[in-house]
Amino acid sequence: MRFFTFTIVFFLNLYVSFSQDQSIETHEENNSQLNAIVDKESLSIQFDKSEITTDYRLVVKVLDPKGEDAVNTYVHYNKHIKIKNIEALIYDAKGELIKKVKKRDFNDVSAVSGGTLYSDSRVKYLNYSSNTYPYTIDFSYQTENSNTAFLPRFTFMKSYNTRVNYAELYVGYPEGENPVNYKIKNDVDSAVKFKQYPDGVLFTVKDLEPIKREVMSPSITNISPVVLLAPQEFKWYDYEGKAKNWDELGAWMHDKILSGKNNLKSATINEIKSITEAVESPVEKAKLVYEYVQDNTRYISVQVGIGGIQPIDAAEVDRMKYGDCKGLTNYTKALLDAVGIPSYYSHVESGRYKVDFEDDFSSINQGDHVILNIPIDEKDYWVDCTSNTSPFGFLGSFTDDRKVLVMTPNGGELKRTKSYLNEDNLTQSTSTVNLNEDNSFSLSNEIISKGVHFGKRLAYAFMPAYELEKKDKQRWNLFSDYEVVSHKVTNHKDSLFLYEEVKLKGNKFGKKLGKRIIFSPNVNIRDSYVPPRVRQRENPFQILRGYALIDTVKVKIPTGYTIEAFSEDKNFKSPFGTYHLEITSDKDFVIFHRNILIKEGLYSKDNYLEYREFRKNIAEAENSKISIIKS
Amino acid sequence: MSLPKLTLSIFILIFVLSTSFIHAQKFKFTEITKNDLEKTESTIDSTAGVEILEFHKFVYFDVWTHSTNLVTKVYKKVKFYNTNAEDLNYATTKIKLYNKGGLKERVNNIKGVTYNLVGDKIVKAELEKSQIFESNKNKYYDEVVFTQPQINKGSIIEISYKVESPLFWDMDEFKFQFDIPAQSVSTEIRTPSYFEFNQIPKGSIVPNYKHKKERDHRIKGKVDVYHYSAESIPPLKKEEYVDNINNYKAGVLFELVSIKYKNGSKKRYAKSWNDVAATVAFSDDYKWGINKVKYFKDDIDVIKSATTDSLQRMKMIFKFVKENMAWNHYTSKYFDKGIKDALSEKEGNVADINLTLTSMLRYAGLEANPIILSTRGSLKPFYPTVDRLNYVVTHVWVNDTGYVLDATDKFSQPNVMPIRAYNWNGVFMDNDNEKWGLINIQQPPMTNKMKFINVELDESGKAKGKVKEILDNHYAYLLRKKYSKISQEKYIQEKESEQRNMLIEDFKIENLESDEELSESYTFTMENSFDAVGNKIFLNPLLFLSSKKNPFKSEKRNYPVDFIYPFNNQLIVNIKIPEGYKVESMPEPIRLEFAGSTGEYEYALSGSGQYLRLNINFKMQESEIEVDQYDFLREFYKQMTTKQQEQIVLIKT
Repeated sequence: MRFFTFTIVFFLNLYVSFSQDQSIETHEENNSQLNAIVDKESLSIQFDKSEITTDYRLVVKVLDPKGEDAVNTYVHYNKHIKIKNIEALIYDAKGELIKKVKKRDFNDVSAVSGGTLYSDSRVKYLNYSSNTYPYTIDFSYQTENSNTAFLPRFTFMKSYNTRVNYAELYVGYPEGENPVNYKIKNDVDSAVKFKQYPDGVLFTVKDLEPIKREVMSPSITNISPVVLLAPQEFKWYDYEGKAKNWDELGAWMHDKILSGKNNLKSATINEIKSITEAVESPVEKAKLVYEYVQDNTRYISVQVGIGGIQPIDAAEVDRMKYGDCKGLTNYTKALLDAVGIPSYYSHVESGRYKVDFEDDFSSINQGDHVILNIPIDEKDYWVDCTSNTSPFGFLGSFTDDRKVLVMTPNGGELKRTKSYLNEDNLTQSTSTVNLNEDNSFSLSNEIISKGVHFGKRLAYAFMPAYELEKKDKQRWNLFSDYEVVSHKVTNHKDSLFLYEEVKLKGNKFGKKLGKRIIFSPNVNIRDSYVPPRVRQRENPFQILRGYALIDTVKVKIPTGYTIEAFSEDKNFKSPFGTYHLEITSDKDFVIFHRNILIKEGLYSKDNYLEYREFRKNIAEAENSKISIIKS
Repeated sequence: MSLPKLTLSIFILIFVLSTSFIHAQKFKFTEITKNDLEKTESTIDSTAGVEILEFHKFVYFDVWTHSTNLVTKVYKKVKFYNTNAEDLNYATTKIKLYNKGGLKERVNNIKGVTYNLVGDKIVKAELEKSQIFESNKNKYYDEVVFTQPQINKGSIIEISYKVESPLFWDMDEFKFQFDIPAQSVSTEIRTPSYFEFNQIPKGSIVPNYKHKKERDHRIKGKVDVYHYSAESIPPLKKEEYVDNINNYKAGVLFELVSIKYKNGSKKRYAKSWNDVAATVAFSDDYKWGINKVKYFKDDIDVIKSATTDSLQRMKMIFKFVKENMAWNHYTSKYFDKGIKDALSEKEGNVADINLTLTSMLRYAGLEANPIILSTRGSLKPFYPTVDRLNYVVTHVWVNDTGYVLDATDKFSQPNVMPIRAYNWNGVFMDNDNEKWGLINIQQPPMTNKMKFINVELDESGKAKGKVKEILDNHYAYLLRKKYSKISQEKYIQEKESEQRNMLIEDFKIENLESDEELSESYTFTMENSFDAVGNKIFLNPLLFLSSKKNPFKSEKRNYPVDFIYPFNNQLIVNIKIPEGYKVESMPEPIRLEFAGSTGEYEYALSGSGQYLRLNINFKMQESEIEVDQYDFLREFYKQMTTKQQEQIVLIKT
């Protein structure tokens, strides 16, 4: 994963996935839907443009091991965030104090995530392990922060199956000023009470009932009440900033943080100019620049101080030939500038799940990754400069179809990245099988992959042959005894699709039983996913992107054999997509044709069973067999 | 007498000259040529994306009046044939610097150069000082990291640095084999002659070895010079069923045994397992700390008055500790908190828990003693070593039967410890009777599984049936652990999707909390349980259990196969075939054996009329299978897998 990190991460909620027992409403402490009770949580922030002080306390009763999710006992710090106090008190079931954890007893480690070479961010945490339940933990800390750009996102309910008796968020400021913007989200039941004082704002909730964890559920922070905060004016290291809206925030990024970071030595400028000289069109030039970056650099993340949001100078990336997402994006931008193509540095929230930047609420802590926006002739091209393999203009499922913040000279602007939906994500294969009397076979496939399927298989174009062979063994695991004769992969990076030509041969195509051979003609992808059975679904479910599979397989049967039986046509239609299967015969050939379309969408919980039934029917049809017999 | 003296002094003179000559010479890598940079694949392993060209270590002791430092100079030259993410990992160097009791390791003289061929020219790029980062990872170590600039396909990098360690008795393993091929690897270790070492080679590649004694001006005395080298070393990659691959990579372990000081006194570290045991046994924790009974006296008195039966007492105390103390995931053979604090805080490291357990058992009149050992995650202790032992469990004698207990895991039982504790031998420490020595705890007891399936098929392919499974020892332990982490709903869902999307109902699990045999039962319905073609049905009697593939894919294996525990799996399937069908043919019975009766597999189908019965017995008596048995094991699995794919043919009457 190629995240860029802001150096302050306030409430990094680590949700370990677990799900819950079937619901039985019994009395509180034995109710398996209730694993922890937050008795009190309070976050109090005193905001001033030049300093933030934070006072936090959490009192939580953990009822069983699954309730440990509700215990988040850690604080991030660095040179600019000082931990003044930190303490944890642990009480047993009888309410007796059994342990007092002081500042020096907390674990203190470097907060480096995988993929980061170095970061100056650190974390103090407590990892208390208990075998005895229930127990209560009373955790508190105070911090001071001289950087004021980041204010936390406060979630009143941080874990599933947890009751919250009381939680509050208070933001104080000098009387009469009103320097902090806020937004309450996901508060469908109006649980959040809000009070304005001359010198602050208070948000409280009382008696939030637990939310049940289910499979395929979104993160709880997306469905339970949350308060977003952002300063209107702030200080970030030596930079003063304004962020009343996206326009201002983007302008600050562009004018203050990014400006002066696009230095390149003249040799490099000349080199990139001479590389792009041969082509006329701006798109072709941009493509060459992007490929130059891909061929010459690699992703290495180093996060030091202001580097949390500011890229290192393009000249430095040019020298090292490595950088993080900020550095590589800024470097690519500098190279594009050198050949006269404007491009814009853009913040995005990355990941398979699509998260939009808030339309009406600007803050610098939305987004965790940087991509580059290149508008040419009214068309937006997007590139991820940390990828060494993605073709120009291809984002894939990591940053597709979401609102991002684009930093232009005229200020910040929200734009939506390229989407890949339904038929955009296509795998189309045409196969010919030569089946022999002894059940041995040769198989020749032509496979085209588009959209996110292209993104998924793109790596095949860069794999050493022996790695590809390993993948092939997993891919055609339908056969137990076969070898890959050849596998050619062509990356059509200009038209954004992958073309594969795969030839297999093997000894067992189907089951040979006396005079008969029984086989499945569906030799490439078997779409046999069936979502898990859920007794009672409580939340909606989502199909993120949708896709289409089109397969045609021609099987030449051995001489002397005739077709004995094959499955009849199958046609399923549902709100989630369509399925069509057809087997025909033509002299010595059996022809299998199958189309699947799965449609993206957010579906109601009441549709879940229907969806499962649809997928089950598909899974069964995908298993269709043909029997041939020697006459 | 006088003659040897004379020759000796002459030798000394010569050696002084020669050693200073040696040390005046600085190490130099062989020069990089255009040819080297143009090379596109390794001659050792053509599939490798990266290769070590040279890897040399020079190790010596810097002895001062008040301190001794272990100095390691590292020189490494690496070639990149490819630049996939896993290849690029080798461009980054991470150096761990440990600290212990105020003594800190340091690194200096870090140098890094990248060589590339640009057009016709060799271009050098140096590692910049600003790109070397040091961070404190946790209270035990710091880490220095850096990555080479300008890495491309074909690049060669040279890295060198020097580590100075005041923890001089703690020598790292010298590795000669890696995940990637290596052309030339060497280590030279110079030790003062009054330092005595054990050297233990491991792995299947034997390095060249030279030993000489010479005089060293730096320490003004004699040194032993050990020199190891190896060429063209293939990589060793991890396969299925292996305990810890690092146990089998070629290398040499050095363990300090003793130091003889000038005044004649001798400081012993460890020479035999007895010494190891004695070193630990005489530590404060094992001599005094373990005897602090007053903090649990009251609780254990209750247990003592509840029963006089020793076995009962053992079980009750074991349960008491498991329920009242939680493991904080730190391993150590020594206390972190001690009995008092660990009990009041209800948590602690391994020693806090298992030494408290030992102490309680002793207090209850049982013969209990600690066993110290090294866990699976660390290397097997191939030689007497104190430092490499990182764990402690409890041994108890009850009526002449020995039990091993580990209370760090809620689901462990007497003689069924967490998997991490089974690595090799343990060191048994009976201070009272001064009985110390190795004890074999490598192999857990046989673990058993019995599975019964009753199933009724109808003509449409629908199967309805019942499954009952009875598990003991580690099978039960592992299932209890798994079950504690996920909900029943999720557990059933997983089972349903693993077993051909069957529908499970009436799910029951018994003895989840007790330490009896664990049993699980459910009813199921399943579609498409067979293939029907024309008037025939093709049925695999293993139903939803039949998809197993041979896990032993490689033709050759250089290290043992590790099943963790011996096992005995029994399966009985009773099948009622659809009305109106009869059996046309059935798979033949088979009996396979492997290495005498170490492994056994029996498959038998019988039946009459509408009822068929499948009986499978699969047993492995040893948990570890040696390399020379691998071919047989692979063949055994192959035949077994083939058998399990055979079908019954039914025909319509």
